[in-house]
Parts: sequence; C-alpha cells; structure tokens
Amino acid sequence: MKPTANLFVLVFLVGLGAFGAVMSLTFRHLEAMTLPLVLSSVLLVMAAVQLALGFRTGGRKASDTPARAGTEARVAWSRLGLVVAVSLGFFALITLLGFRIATLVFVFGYLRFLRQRGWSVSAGFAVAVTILIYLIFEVALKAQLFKGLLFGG
Amino acid sequence: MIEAYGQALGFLFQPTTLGLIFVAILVGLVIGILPGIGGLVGISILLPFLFRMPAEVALSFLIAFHAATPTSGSITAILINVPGTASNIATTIDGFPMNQKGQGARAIGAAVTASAFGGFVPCFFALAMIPLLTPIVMNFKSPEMVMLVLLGIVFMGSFTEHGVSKGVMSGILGLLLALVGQELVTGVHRFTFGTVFLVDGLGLIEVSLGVFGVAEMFDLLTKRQAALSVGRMERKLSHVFEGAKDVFRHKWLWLRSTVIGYIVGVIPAIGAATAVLVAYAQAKQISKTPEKFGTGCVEGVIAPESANNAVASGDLLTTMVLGIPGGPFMALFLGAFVMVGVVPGPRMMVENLPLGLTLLLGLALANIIAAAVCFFGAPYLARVASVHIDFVFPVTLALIFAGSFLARGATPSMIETIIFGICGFMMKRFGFSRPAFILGFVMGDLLENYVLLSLQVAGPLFFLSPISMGLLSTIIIVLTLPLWRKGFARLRSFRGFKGA
Repeated sequence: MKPTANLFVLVFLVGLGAFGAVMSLTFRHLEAMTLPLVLSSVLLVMAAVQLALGFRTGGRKASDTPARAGTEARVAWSRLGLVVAVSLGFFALITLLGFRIATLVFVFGYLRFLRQRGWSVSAGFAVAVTILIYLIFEVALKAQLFKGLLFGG
Repeated sequence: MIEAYGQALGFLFQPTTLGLIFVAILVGLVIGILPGIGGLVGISILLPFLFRMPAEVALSFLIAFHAATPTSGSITAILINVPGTASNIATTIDGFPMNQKGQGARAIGAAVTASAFGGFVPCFFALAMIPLLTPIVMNFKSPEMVMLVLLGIVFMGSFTEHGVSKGVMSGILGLLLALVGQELVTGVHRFTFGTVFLVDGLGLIEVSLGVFGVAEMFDLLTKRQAALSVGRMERKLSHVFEGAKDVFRHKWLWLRSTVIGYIVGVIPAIGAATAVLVAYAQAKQISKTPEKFGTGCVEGVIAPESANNAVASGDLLTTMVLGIPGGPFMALFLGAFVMVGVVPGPRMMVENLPLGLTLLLGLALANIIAAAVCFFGAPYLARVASVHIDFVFPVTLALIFAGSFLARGATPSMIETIIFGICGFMMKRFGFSRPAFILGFVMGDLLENYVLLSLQVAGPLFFLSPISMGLLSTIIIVLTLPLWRKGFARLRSFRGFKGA
C-alpha cells in the first residue's frame, strides 16, 4: 500500500514531536522544560494516532485527502518549486543590491521574461512599484530599507 | 465608564485618526475586492507597518480595515459571481442573478446599505454587553486563563472541514514554535541550534507574513487563475438608491440577519462564512416567496450582507474580553494586540477600557464610511478586480519582504518568511488550520506564563477550580464532538433499521 502525501506530513509531525520531546529533556531547568515537553509529547501522540488510522484505512480515509479535491486543481509541485525559486531569487537580489534596485530588477524581470508582458508595461510597472515601496517605507514610515551588500549594507 | 467613552470619542474624532481610518478603509476596500487575496493576507502585510504606531492608532487602523473588506467583497460577488472574501459567498446566490437581469446597481446598493447598518448597530449590542461581562471575567485568574487559551485553540482548530485532530495539531504546533528562543525566567536557549538569530525567537510578523501572505501568493500562482473580466457596471445612482431603499422595505429581515451575524460572531471560531449561510437560510425560510431565492431576489442579498458585517463586533468583543478570537482574522488581530503591548482577555476591559471602546466605536464608524465610499465608488472599485495575478504577485512579495526585513532589521527574516510561506502552503493543501496555528503561536508565551504561575500558586492540580473545570469540560466536549455525532448517527440508523 502506497502512503498518500498526507501521511508523509503526519510522519513529519511524528518526527517533529519526537525531536521536540527529546530536545526538551536536555533543557537544564524544569520551568524551561515543562511546556515544550508536554506540547511535543501531545503532538507526537496525536500525529502517531492519525498516522496509524491512516495506514489502517489504506491511506484513503476522508480526512487524509488533501484539502482541495474534486474540481480544485491538483497540486503543481513543479510550479511551487518555480515560485519558491523566484522568491529566493528576489531575496538574493535584495541581499546583494538592496531593496530599491532589487525591486526594480525583479519586477521588470518577472513581468518581462517570466510572464512575457511588453517592455513598456514591465518597465513602467517596475518603476511604479519601486517608487511605491520608497514612498511607503522610507518617506512615510521613515524606515531604512536594506541597501545591499554591494552598496555598504 | 462615561470618562472612558469621552476618551474614546475624543481620540476617534481627531483629524489624524479620521484620516488614518479613511486610508485603512481604502486599503481594505481594495484588498476585499481582489479575489483570492482577502483580509488575512491584508492584515499580515499591514502588521509590519503598525508596530511603529501607538497602540490605539494601530488597532483602530486594523479594525477599520476589517470593516471594509466584506463590504467591497460584495461588489465582485454581484458583478462576476466571485466572492471577494469568504463572507461574501452567499451574496453570489442572488446577487449575480440580479446583475444578469440588469439589476446589478440595485443589488450593490442593497448590499452596501445592509453592510453599513449591519456593521453599525451590533457595535452597540457589544458596548451594552461590556458592563455585564466585566464582573464575570474578573474572576478569571491564571488557571482559568490556561484553560481559556486551550479552549480558544480547540475551538479554532475544531471548526474546520478537515477534522478536529488536524486543527488541534496545528494549534499545538503554533504553541511549540512560540517557545523557540531564550526562556525569559531561566535564560535557557530552546531550539535555537546555536544561532544568534533564533535567540530572540521566531517573529510574529515574519511568521504571519509567511503563513498567510506568501502562502496565498504561492497558492494563487500554482493555480494560475486567469484574469477576471468585470465589464462595465452601470452608474445610475438612482438604481443604487433603489437598492438602499430595499433594505428599509425589508427592515425586519435586516434586523434578524444582523442579530444572527452578531450571535455567530460572539461564539468563538465559527466565523462569518457560517453566519452568512445561516442568515440566507433563515431569509429563505421566512420569506413569503422562497421559490424566488436563487433567481435574483434582493432579500437574498440583504440577509448575508447584514450578517457578514455584524459578525465583526461579536468577534471583537469575544477577542477583547476573553482573549479567544472569534475567527481567523481575529487570531491575527490578537497577535497585533500582543505586538503593541496590550494583553487581550479578562483584564483588558478593566485596565484598557478606553481602548476597547475606541475599537468598537471605530468599527461602527468605519462601517458607515466604507459603505459610503462603496456606494459612490463601486464602478471604480469594480475595475480593481480585473488586475491580473501577474501584477499582484511582485507588488505583494515586495511589500512582504520589506515588512519582514523591517520587523528585525535583519535579512534572515525574509528567509524565515519564505520558509513559513512553504509551511503555510502545505498546511492549506493538507487541511491543517492556519488560524489555529497562528493563535497557538501568538498565545504560546502567555500560556507558558499562565501555566508556570498556576503551578506556583496552586500546584499541579490548578485546574480544579470551578471555572477551570467548566472550561476543561467544554474542551473535552468539543474534542469529542465528532465521536458524539457518529454515535448519534449510528443510533438513528439502527432505530431506522429496527423500524423497517
């Protein structure tokens, strides 16, 4: 019997509960140990029970099915991977170039090369978003956004 | 009490406060009308801006935002059969058919007017309940607070479609993650893995931005929805006013639906989506022409739109007085309270009464202003719904990253947000309750304080006080409710079999 993806999530939670319980036992003081140990143990037990029930019903129990079923689109894992990669790319740009330049480059690049929007629409929107971020954070909130490692951030 | 009202009104009617409330309403109207975004994403994006403001300003801003989102969400529900928020679902049943019959403007007039009065009047129900509730909740000490927090998590986790156990596990996970970092009393580093960044623990802003903001963006992009075509909405104000008059013609329907919404709001964790369906069902049952429901009947718009705005004041009362959020939005609102240094719960109405009154009165005011803006600006707001996700995603991500960075002024906060974005996406896909998770995360530190205090004062059997036992019994009943339902269903089928 092949476990469903939902069962893998439960296995993860069992592992997390066990890890939390074991780590809690290493905390020096009783006050620091009490609640993490109790919570980890409860999580471990609940996840283990759900996992056992899931295996008993062959991984096909109603509550084991993903939240979206029927007419909803199936999970596009490759699409999720791409979106996460794009987000990490934006993070990398911010780290190197700072918020202002990174926002300009990211928004333009995303619209022009990933979404195939026109040059003028992509460039215009990128400039507008950058100005918006600048006005909201640096002017209105007087907050200093990260300047980027290449610019002394 | 009168002095507290004076302070609340004095603060609310300052020009800067009114200006900020107006900005919050505009933001709420835009967010409410963008399908797939919703109030939860909006509040998580707003949180980083707010912790720099004084408590009354920040919370008034948020409550005004909350008042506006269901009001504008009715516009897309009526024009294109897509609810702007979950609380506008029932509006599509009759609102969209009304639009198809050329009565879209009338439907919007009815929806907006029902929302205005449905949101305004229950605030005064809530204000009237405060002096009645205060003496009761004054008896709540640390042991009772432990039970109350656990009850809130159980409620929040139970009222999901994917099983009580998943909801409760989500809450426990949130509680556990709240304990990451340096324990304040003993100084022990818990789950920090030797990193300096985690000594301060996980941040509410980063976690909520990830679990709601980033997760929703990931979800929308993986579904690759096409842009919505709104078309042109007729701009005859006379038709919009006709809809407003309909609410006065059906004033008893409006009142019943408002009361239903308020009561559902007071009961923790039920939420506006349930309130609107109950209100719609009662409207159809009591109507002299129930066969017209679903074909474009204005009563089918008035009932749910009154209820969805009425929920907010009941929600807010329960959140402030008991510290148990009335719904998912209030779980994050609870986080906002903690962030600005206000502890919601029984003591809030004693120590922070002017703030509580400010929020309820602010909610009432915001409902009226939001409705007025929608009334005249609906055709323009409707165009916002056509904005494609291609443009929404980069703006939202930029705001999320900027907000996340500002929380601690450290770039690893953005990685934390992405990680929790992936977690939030997984939670949504596999039926775990994100509101229960966030509630657990927000209340984790407080729960630990209450537990340690209770153990010090009353020992391990601290839960034996009458109120604690009552709350514990409620927790057990809610947790075992699915078993009771199964048992009764079996008993009924057995009796039916015997009868046959």
